Amino acid sequence: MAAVVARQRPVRARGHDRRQIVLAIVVLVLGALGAWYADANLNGYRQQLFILCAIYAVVAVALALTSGFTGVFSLGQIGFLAIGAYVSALLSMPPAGKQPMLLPGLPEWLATFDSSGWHPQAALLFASLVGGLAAALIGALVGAPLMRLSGNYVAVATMGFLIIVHSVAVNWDDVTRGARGLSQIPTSTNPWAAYVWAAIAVYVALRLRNSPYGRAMIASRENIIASRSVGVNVLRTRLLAFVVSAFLTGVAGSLLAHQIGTVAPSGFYFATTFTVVIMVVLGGMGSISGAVVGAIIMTLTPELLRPIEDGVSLGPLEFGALYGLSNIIIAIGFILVMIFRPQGLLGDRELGLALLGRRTPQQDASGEDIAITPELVSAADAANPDSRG
Amino acid sequence: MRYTPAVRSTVADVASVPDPSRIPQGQGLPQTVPRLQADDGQQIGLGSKVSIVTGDVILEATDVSRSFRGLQALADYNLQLRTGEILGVIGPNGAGKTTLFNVMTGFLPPTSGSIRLRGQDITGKAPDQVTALGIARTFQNIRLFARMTVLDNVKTAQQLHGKAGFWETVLSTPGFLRKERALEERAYAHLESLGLARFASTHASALPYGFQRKLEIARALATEPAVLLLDEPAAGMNAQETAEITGFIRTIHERFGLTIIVVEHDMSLIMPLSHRIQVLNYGRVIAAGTPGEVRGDPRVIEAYLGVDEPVAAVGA
Amino acid sequence: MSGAEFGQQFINALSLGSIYALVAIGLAMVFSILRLINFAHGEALMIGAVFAVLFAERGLPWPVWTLLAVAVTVLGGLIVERVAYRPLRGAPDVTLLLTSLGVSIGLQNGALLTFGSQPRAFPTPEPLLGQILLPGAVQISRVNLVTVLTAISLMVVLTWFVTRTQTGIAMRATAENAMAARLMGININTVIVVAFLLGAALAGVAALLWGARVGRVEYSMGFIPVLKAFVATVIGGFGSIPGAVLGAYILGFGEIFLVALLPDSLTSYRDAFIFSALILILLFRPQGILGSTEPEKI
Repeated sequence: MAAVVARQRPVRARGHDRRQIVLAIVVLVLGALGAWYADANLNGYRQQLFILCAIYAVVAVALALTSGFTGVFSLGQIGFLAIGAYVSALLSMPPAGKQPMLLPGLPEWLATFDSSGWHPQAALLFASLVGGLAAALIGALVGAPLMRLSGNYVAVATMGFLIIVHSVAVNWDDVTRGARGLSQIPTSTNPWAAYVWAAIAVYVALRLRNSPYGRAMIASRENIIASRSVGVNVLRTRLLAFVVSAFLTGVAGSLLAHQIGTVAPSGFYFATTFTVVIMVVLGGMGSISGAVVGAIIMTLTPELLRPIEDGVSLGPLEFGALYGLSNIIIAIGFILVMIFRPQGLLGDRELGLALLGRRTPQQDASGEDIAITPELVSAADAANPDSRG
Repeated sequence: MRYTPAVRSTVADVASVPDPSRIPQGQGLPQTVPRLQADDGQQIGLGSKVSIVTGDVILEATDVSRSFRGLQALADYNLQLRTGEILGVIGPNGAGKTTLFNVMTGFLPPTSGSIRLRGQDITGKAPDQVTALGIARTFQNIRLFARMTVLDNVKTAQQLHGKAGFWETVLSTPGFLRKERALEERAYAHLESLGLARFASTHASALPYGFQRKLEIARALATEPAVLLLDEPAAGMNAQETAEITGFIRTIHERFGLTIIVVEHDMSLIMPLSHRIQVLNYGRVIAAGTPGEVRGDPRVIEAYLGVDEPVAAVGA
Repeated sequence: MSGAEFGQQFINALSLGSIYALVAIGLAMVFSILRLINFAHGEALMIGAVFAVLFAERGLPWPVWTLLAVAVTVLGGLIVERVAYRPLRGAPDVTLLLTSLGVSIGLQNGALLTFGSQPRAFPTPEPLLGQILLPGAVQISRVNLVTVLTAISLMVVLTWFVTRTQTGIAMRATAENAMAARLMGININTVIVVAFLLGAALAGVAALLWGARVGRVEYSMGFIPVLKAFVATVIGGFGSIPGAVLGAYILGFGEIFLVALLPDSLTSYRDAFIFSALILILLFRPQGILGSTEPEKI
């Protein structure tokens, strides 16, 4: 009888796993070398760029986790960045900067909380964890109702969340100092801290993806009704992605605050939202390495284009300062990507596996999103007359 | 067992609607599955709860109704489904067949009435809870996880039982790795036993149509259901493919000791498979009985073909 | 609140709601046909206002520059449709939404590059300046009056268009069921172009009215009105034109009277309240007031 099941090892398991582990180690070592190099040899400006790339990699990976895996398109991610930044800033600022005269809304324990005597990295780690947890907590509260929505509705609702966070940051003067923002935050984010968090974010996302949780997330994205029919609790699955994503974004917010030394509401609004969305879409919505690549491209491009913005001479032609040009170039590039490669650079794939020459399943017949045009639908209907029922 | 021999045995019959008596039902059933019994002389007719399969009642619907804005899609539906039974549900388009499935699997709460699985009330439970309790289903328009591999489609269903915890997962503990490996092996074995293993790492969307149907059934089976609901498994298939899927359903029925409800238009699938058939029209059961009885029932013919009188009246 | 004060606020709310309505109609029209949430619609408003300033600075008389500004806005809307949205026909909703974000960023920065970052004064035409005194000591600004009257007449014309003309009926048919409309021989591209044309024209008019209302023009000015118009379409029901208008007026009144009635310490949280309401609507009545949703067919 066929009930006797062949005990054959799944074809892809072992070698695949081993290759992934080797690859992961290679990438980790390369990243660490980069962090070491940035820490030891780069000048301040380049070091800052390295840190920024790593921080935005965290944010982009977090967004890919919720928007790419579960398909719940969040435009509110930057709200969590703000929460992480503000909470961690309030923890790390020296008590002198938190006096009632300046920030009358702070509770006593927070106003007097002083981590300036700690090792800077310990203080940063503490602030980042608390910032991340605060973001995760808000994420759970906001996500519990919002994760019921799908498609455009959830994009709009999360955008509403961002606007609310921004409005609070601007108006809650007693705690946030309004539009002026908070300053005197110790600038303790170094290349190592940023790199380690980026590595953690990538690891967590990849691990979740190749686990029951990730499969449930992707299944609910692919077909929400079918996923429920095989026992996936869609709300809980989406909420998990949303909360983990909020935590990582909150941590990134803390790293950002401790890099710049100041936080202000204007840094956490639509401009940043668009930038991060572009990172993820550019890299490929379901791809973690794509998000990292997108983050690096989108962090470095404006820097590379800056000389053009500051004015340039092309032979006999002299151009003055052209503010906005780099954003125009990015916007046009983005629209072109949407039109000609809407799945982004990598789609659902991961960079490393492609490099190692093993085609992942996603590279098979349908690596590309097929736009459902009316022609396609009618063709499908013609082929399958009962499918419309 | 391979399903192909079963296919061959039915291929000859599909041109005409096969006579159920010619299909060797119950042959080669494993011991756990209740055998069919000849129903000696008992009257089976409209609304009858008598079944020719004797086993415990596994799924029970009592006066289940569902309406959409005043439109009664399902009215006072009753069912006592016995373990191991295959119930066919037929009826014209819009008769309420899919609504019946949606109500039974928690996708639509019934407006009134109750549904019990193994005596437990499952009325109003969410679809994922219903699946966890033991009812799986397929869909009329195939719903696969298109951009996931065939193996992952099955794993996603199989992980309903025995997945690792969140922290275990994030920390990649040995326990997590062991569970994942076991899951992978089980999923692969499952595919193998259903003849789908060669597609394990193919994207679901890249499968040929007939295999997509099979994969959807395989995925439903991976949730380890007691009752399987198949919504038009032969939709869009030609005669040969229909014969093949019929054999496939018979195979899984035997191998997994399943209880099945199948909705279908195609009589060449429903007649040889079903132990019992219910005919729905305008949300009501208008006839029920063995395939042979239902086929001759004038109410069924009327529901499908309409009646002569109104036409005659127009003519006069 | 005294009676006169109430009358003033009432007209003010009506005027604000009218502008939101003009912008929201364009959003709803395009959404109903393409399922595109057109974020770049706010840039249509910005373009209209920017070109109004540029033409007025050339010394053109106001009846000319207003018309020219609207014409340029329409042209811009058509170009964006042709270049950015038409190649994406049939793409997933989110791809369309993201593309419109890209268009929005591109146009805003284009304005930043050419028009500059400094706000300029809106050249409100002479006849629109000043106040009118109504009986009961109600003072209303001419701008508000003109805004309300313009918006209402445009809406009357639009209603006539979508209910009486063949193109208008084709638009509604397409919004109802694009596939069926195609099968009935309706040219969807024409319908889409007309939707963008009308939407941009209304946004162009809204640009002039908004410019006169806030008094200044800058590259980022489209953002707030489009967000508000967008909330209006959600309140009324995504894609429903009457719903968008109703939502716009509800929002206009809500905003004005929220500010008038809230204690001072909370008025600056106006946007937080509005968007909290938006989220609540999305959660409890995602189809809005006038919209209806069919449950997804399984």
